[in-house]
Amino acid sequence: MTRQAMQPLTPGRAIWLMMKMRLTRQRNMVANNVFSKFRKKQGRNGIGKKSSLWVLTLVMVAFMLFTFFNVSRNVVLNMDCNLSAHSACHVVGKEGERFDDLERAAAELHAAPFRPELARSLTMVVTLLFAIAVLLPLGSKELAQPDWDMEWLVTMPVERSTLLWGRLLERSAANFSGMFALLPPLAVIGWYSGLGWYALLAALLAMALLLPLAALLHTLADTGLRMWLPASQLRNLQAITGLFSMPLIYFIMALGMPGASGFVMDLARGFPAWTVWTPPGMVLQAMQAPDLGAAVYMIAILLLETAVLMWAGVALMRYQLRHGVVNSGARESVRRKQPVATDATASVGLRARLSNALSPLKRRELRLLSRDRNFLVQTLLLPVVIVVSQMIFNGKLNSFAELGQHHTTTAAIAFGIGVYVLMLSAFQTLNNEGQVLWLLYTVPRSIESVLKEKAQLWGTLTMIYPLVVIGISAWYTTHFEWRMLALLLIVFTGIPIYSMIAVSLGVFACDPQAVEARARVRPTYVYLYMLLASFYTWSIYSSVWSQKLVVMVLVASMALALWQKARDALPYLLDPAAAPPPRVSTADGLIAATAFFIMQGLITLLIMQGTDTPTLKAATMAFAGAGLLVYVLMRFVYWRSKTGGVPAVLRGGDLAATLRYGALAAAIACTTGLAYMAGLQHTSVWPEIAKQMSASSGSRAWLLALAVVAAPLCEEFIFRGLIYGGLRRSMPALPAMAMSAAIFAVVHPPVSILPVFVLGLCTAWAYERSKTLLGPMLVHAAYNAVILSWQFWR
Amino acid sequence: MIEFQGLSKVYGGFDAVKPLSLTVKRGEVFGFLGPNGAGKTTTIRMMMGILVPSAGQVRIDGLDCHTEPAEVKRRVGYLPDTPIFYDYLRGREILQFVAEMHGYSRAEAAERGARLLAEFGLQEAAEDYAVNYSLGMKKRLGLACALIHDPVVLILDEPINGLDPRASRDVQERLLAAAARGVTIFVSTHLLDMAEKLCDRVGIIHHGQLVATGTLDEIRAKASASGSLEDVFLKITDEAAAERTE
Repeated sequence: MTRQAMQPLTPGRAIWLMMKMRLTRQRNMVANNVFSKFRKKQGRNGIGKKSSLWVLTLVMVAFMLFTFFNVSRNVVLNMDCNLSAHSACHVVGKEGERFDDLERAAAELHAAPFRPELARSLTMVVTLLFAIAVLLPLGSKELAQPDWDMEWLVTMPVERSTLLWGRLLERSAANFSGMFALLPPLAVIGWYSGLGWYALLAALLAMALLLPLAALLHTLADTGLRMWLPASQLRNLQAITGLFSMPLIYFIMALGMPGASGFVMDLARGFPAWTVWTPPGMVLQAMQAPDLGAAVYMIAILLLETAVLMWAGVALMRYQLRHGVVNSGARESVRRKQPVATDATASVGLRARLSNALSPLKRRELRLLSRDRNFLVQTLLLPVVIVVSQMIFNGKLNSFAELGQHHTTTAAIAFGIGVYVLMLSAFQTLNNEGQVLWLLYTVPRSIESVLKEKAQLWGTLTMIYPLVVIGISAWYTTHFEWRMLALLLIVFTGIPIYSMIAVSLGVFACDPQAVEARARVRPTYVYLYMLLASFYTWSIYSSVWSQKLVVMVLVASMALALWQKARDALPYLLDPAAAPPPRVSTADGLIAATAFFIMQGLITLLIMQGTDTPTLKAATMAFAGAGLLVYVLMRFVYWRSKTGGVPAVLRGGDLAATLRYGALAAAIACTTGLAYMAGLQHTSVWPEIAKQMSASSGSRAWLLALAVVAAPLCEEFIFRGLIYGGLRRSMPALPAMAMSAAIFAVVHPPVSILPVFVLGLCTAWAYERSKTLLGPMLVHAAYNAVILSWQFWR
Repeated sequence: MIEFQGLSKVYGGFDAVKPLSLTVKRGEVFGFLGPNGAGKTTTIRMMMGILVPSAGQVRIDGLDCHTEPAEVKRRVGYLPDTPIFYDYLRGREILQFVAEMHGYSRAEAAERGARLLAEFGLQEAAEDYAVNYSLGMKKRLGLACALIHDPVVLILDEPINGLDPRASRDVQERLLAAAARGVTIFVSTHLLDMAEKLCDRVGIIHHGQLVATGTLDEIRAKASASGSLEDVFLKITDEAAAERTE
C-alpha cells in the first residue's frame, strides 16, 4: 500500500473547489425543491405542490427582466428629454400643448454621443444601482449571527487571502439581485450608445467587473466590520441598509417617469463630474467611446481601476482579520441596572394597566418587536419609507394637501400601507417563532388560539397606519362627502379581514425550520396575498355600491375559508412528511362559486354573441350550463383525491322529515319571491325587466325543465353542500346560514338579490334539518318553478 | 399513566417508529433507551403533538395526545433534546411567559419563576438574553420551564446529553426528587449509567422497534447476559441487528 504524497493545494484550485462546493449546494437545494414529487421520502404535499413552483419562478424571472428593461429604457430616454432644453424630443402638439416624444429622443441618442449632463446622470444611475447591488445582499443575511461558514473554512489548509478571494468570487457569481439591477440598464445604455446587439455582451462584461467590486464592499462590511463592531451596532447597520435600498429604487424609477418632480432631475444634473472616472463611469465611457481605439483605452483604465481596488480591498480585509476570523465573546449588551423585583411593583400606572390588559402572548410579541431592531425597522418603518418615497419621487402627490382632495386615492394608500405592514408582520407569524415553535407546543393552548391572538394584535397595530393617512387627509379636506364615510368603512373592515388572511396564508407560506433566510417564505403565497389585496381595492375604486358589497362579502368569506384550511393544516406544521387528509372545506365551495360565476358570464357571452342584455333564455342556459360543469368537475376532483365529507344527496337522511321541512321552506321562499315580484311591478324599472323576462312559448317548457332540474342540483351542491357545510364546521347555524345565503345572493343579478337571499336562508335551513341535499334541492326547484311560471303565464 | 397503543410513524418507505405498545405506570421512572437514530425523539414528538402518528395512538392520563393536546399539556412538562429559545428575551421573561401561558396570574408566575431560577442557580443568567446562553444553561432553563407548572408527567429527551459532570449530577438528583414526589418520568437517553441509576424500568428501541422492556434484571434474564446495562444493551441491539439482516 503506497501512500501518495499529498500535493499542496494551489490557490487557484482552492478557489475552484470552494466555488464548486457552493454551486453543488445551490444545485442540491434547487433539485430538492424541483424533484421532491419524485422522492418517496419527504415533501409536504399540502397546498402548493413544490414541483410546479419552478415554472412560476421562471415566469416571474422573465417578467421581472422584461419590466426592468422597460424601466431602464424609460429612465434613459426620459432623462435625455428632461436634462437638456435643446433635446429634440420636446414637441409642441396640435393644440399647442407640449409633450415629450420619447421616440425622437431615442433616435437622437443613436445618432450622437451622450451629452455631458446625460453622461453624468447615467453615471449616477449606474452608481446607485451598484449601491443597490451591494445593499440588497448585505441586508438579507443576519449580520449579527456568527459566521459559521468562515469559521469552518479557516480550518482548511488554505491561505487566508485565498479564502477571501474565493469568497469574493463566489459572491459575485451568486449575486442575483445585483445582476437584475445592473444587466438591464447597462444593456440599454449600450444599445443607445450604438453598440447594437453587442450591447448585451458589453453589459455582461461590465457586470463581470462591477459585481466583484460590489462583492468586495459587501464582504468588507460583512466579514470585516463584524470584527470591529459589537453585535447591537451590527444589527443597527443591518436595519439601516434594509431601509436605504428602498428610496434608492424609487429614486431610479422616478427618473423614468415623465411627470417626475423637478428636484429629482436637479439631483441628477448636479451629480459631480469627476465621477465619470470611477468604475461605473468608466463603463459608460467605454460604451460611449467613438472608436475602437478609444474604447480599448477606456477598458484598460477600467480593468486597472478594478484590479487596484480589489487588491486594496483584500489587503484591508486581511488587516481587519489580523486578530482572528471570528469575533468571539461578543455578548449582547443588557441593561443590568434593574432589580429583579420590578415585575411586582410594576402593577400600577397606565403602562402597567395597559400591559395587564394584554394577554401574555401579546405582551411577549410586543416585547420581541421592541427589542428586535431589524424586525421593528422592517415591519414598521419600511412601509412608511416606501410610501413617502413613492410620494416624493413620483410626484403624483406633491403635497399632503392633495391627500385632502383625492379621497379614493387616499383610501387606497391607507389600505395599501396597512396590507403591506400585515404582509411583513402577520404573514410571518410562524417565521417569527422560528425554531422556538416547539415552546408553543408545550403549553395547554391550541396553536389556533395562538394564531388568532396574533391576528388580533397585528390587525389592531396595523390600524395606526391607515388612521394616520386618513387623519392627514381629513385635516386637509375642504368639504365633507358621504362617500368618504363609505371609504372609511371599507378600509377599516378590510384591515382585520386581511390580518386573518395574512395569518392563514402565512401558515402555508412559512417554513420556520428552513436554514436559509431566503427560503423561509414561499413566494407563491406572497403573490397570492398581494393578488387578494389588489382584489379588495376594486371595492375602494368602484363607484357601484353593489360591486363594493360583492367584493367585501367574497373577501370576508375567503378569509374564513382560508382560516379553516389553515386550521386543518396546523397539527402537521412541524411534521415534514404528513399533510392533513383531504376534506371538503369552505374554500372549495368558494372556488366553486367563483368558477360558477365566471363560467356563467362566459356562457352568457357566448350565447348572446355581443348583443346587449341577456334574455331569460340565455341566462337560464348559462346558469344551468355553468352549474353542471362545476358540479361534474368538483365531483371528479373529490373522487380522485378520495376526499372525506362530500355532501350526500340521499344517503343518511330521513325522507319524511326532508319532505316536511322542504315543503315548509319552499312555501316561505316562494311566497317571498312572489311578493317581491308583485312589488317590483309597481316600480319604474319594471318595463325593462319585463322585456328581459319574456320568452317564446316553444322554449318555455324546456327552460322550465332546466331551471327546475339542472340548476338546483348543481347550485345546491356548491352553495349549500360545500359552502354552508364548510362554514358550519367552524360556526353555529345562524351565521353560517346568513353567510352562505349572502354569497349565494351576490352571484345572482342585482335585481333578484333580495328574494334569492331569502331563498338561500330557506334552503340552508332545509339542509340543516334534513342533513341531505334532497331537501334544499326540492325547495330550490319549487322556487324556480313558481317564479318562472308566474313570469311566463302572468 | 402513559399508554402507547400501536403508535407508529412512517415516512414514505421508511419506518421511523414501528407499532409501539407499552404502558408506563403512575409514579414510575421509565427509561427509553436506544442508539442514535433509533426513533426515541420521534416517539417523544408524537407524544407532544409535534408530529402526527401514522397509526395508533398514545394516551396520557387517558387523554389522546393527538386529539386532546391542550388537556395533555396541562399535565405534562417537556424538555427537548436541543432547547432553542427566543434570542432577545431574558431567561426570566421566558420562564414568566411559559408560566403565564399555563394559566398562572402574572404575580404568581413571577414568584414561581423566581423560585425555580434560584433552585437551578440561574439568577445571574436570568438577566441575560437567551442568545448568550451555553448549552448547559439552556437545558437548565428548559427544565425549569418543564417544571414550572408542577406537572404529573415529565417527558425528557436526552436531558443530560452535553452537560458537564456537576450539572449532570444536579439534573439527576432533581429527577430523583421529582420521582419521589410521585411524578411519572419518561426519559429518553443513550447514556446507560444514568439509566441504570435512575430508572425503574427501561425499554430498548432499535431501528424503530421496541426490542426489550422491563426492569434491568428482567432484561438481563431475557438476554441471558450479565454485567452492566451497557453490556446487556450492546448484546441486545446486536441481536436485533442480526435479526434484521436475516
